[in-house]
Amino acid sequence: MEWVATWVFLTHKWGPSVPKTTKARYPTKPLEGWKHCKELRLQHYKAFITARDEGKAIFTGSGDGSQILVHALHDSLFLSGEPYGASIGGDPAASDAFSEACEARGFARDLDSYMRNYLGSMYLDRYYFGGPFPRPDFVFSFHVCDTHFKWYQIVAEHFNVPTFGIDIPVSGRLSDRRESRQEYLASQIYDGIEWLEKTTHRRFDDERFIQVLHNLTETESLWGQICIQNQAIPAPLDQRALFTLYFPGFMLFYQPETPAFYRELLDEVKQRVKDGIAAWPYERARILHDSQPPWHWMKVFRIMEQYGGVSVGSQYAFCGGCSFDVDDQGVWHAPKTIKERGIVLQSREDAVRFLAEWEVGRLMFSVFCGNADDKNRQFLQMVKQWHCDGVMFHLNRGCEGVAQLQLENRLAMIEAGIPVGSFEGNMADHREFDEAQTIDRIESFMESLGLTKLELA
Amino acid sequence: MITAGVDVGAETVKVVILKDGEVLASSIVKAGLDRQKSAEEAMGNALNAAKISKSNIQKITATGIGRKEISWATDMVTEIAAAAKGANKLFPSARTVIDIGAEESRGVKVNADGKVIDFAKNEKCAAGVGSFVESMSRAIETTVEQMGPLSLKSDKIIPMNVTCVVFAESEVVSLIHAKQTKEDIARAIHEAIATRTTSMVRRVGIEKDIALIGGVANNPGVIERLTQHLGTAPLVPKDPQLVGALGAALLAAS
Repeated sequence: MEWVATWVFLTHKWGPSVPKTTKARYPTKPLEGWKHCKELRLQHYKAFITARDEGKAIFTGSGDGSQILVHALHDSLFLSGEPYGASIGGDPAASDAFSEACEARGFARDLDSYMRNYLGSMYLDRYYFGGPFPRPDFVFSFHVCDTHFKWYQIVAEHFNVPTFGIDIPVSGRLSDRRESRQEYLASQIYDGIEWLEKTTHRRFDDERFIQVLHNLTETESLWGQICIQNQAIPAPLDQRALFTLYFPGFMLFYQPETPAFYRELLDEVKQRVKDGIAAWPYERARILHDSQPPWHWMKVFRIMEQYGGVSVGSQYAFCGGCSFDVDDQGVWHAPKTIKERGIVLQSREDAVRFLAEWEVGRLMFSVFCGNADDKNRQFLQMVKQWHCDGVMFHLNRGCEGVAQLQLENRLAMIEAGIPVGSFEGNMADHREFDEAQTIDRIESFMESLGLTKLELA
Repeated sequence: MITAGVDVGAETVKVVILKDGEVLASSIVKAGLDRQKSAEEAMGNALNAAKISKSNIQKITATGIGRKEISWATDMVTEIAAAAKGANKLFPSARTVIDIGAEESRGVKVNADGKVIDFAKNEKCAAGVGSFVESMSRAIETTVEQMGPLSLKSDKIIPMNVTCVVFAESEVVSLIHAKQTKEDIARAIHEAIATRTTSMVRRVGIEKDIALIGGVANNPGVIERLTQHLGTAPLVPKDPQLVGALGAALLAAS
């Protein structure tokens, strides 16, 4: 069969020349949606270069939720700090220049590496995608991580622009005091709407707000369905693809191109599952990944693949782009859209209530709760549903929030009899990364799973 | 079947040749900048001792930090797998293996077959490994070999806030200025290694029996301190620095 690749391995000079071969177990082919996804991302970042000429407002803040309210006012561009810092983190030379510019102003080297990349870019007035740093009109930020709002406070002070922060309450367990947390968030959303109207001198359009929420849930539902498809053996997508493909859902959910793209992608992934098309044709073990990856060294997944280990998902990629529905048995399902839930949003009050419920219930926020129980439960469920043979923890020194429960999660996996491996690194600062040590740790973990290195050319 | 294991470490290259699972010969040479050359020398010494030629060896498995530099190895395994296998051969009852080499220390949880269940390594810091002892021995003007016997003469515990080798050297200098004896300083250094190592091994869980391997296991001062911290005396083989190469040779045969 054509897809059965065969490589010849040259044996050592003393031994007999017996060719070693590793045969692919599954067919594979490139993902067609990949290029389109990269284009959507690049278009988004390039748009900042011409935004001023096109009369578009620019604002900045944390994560993705920040833009839900702003898009109800006008078409604007949102520079989300974390994905921007990650983009820089993928380029060690740029990351060096930006993080060192930030550190030269007195910021400690152990602070969030996304933040240091972003602030350095701002201080040097160099936008990573070309031209000067895009000056925001205002700062408007939802945040779950306390240090993140301080980040945008610095940005606001630097540009002397107004700032508003909405604190998404996370503490204890996701289910704790849910109603009071929703009320707390909803009250801030009302304040935020009032602040936006005063700051931008524009009317908050409730119809646009409701439409953005429909787009949000449709996009997240589609992303959830794509992630669920990856439960198939062999996995149609690998972790590197997931980390790239979740970007439109995370950042561009408000625009109609995003659900359209995800519908096409879902069809393609379903077809791959039907045809048994693998992301990695040598899949022999399935690994759950934890934390952001070291963006400057995505080879971490290649090292696993050299042993037949495929990273099939992570809480970060799954839940960063989607708030899964969890049933009474703990099983994860792609979230239902507003329509599928039978909800009719008719007023600002309906929409605010829905948004508050949606945000407070995000599974991703379990990492910020300071209590390992939720994340442990999520990990055990992901291992089960995505048929994982082990968990690889990137002990990420670049993000205190995501890293805070990792060692407890690790212990919980061990207690449950799930093999775990770990390596130390930093998502966006290559200076804190030791390539040789990382390879050694990954290879040791693969061997402990009973895997041997594939004989590849 | 004749197999060989080559352990290319940071300080030394070790070779063990096995015939049907039993040791025919072994050798240790100092690792130079050219690891391949050092490995050739170590292999040559072992072959001479075994009175066989290279062509008699069916499989050669390399391990250690420099394993990828050995072009003539037929296979490679990580230090973790090699340590587990080698320790299991020598001490089948061991469920925890502590391997302290020149550059790295490792804690490995193993099952009865020598299969790795979990492992932990020191991270980006030499303050718990052999190069630390070497560096500190220079600071107190003695030899690595003397560090252990010196340490055993002390009955004092001086705390050291060891965060890295460079800072530790400053601390040692301060202790010298504070008129602490060489014996007490040597013990403080071993205490620092023992606390760091025990903390690392606790990440995988400490289960008896415990095997201690690697070059640092030749140091009775470290063994004495580790015994205190582990609450039990570790099993230490003769030639503990050869266990990785032994494990590699066993894996080559399997």
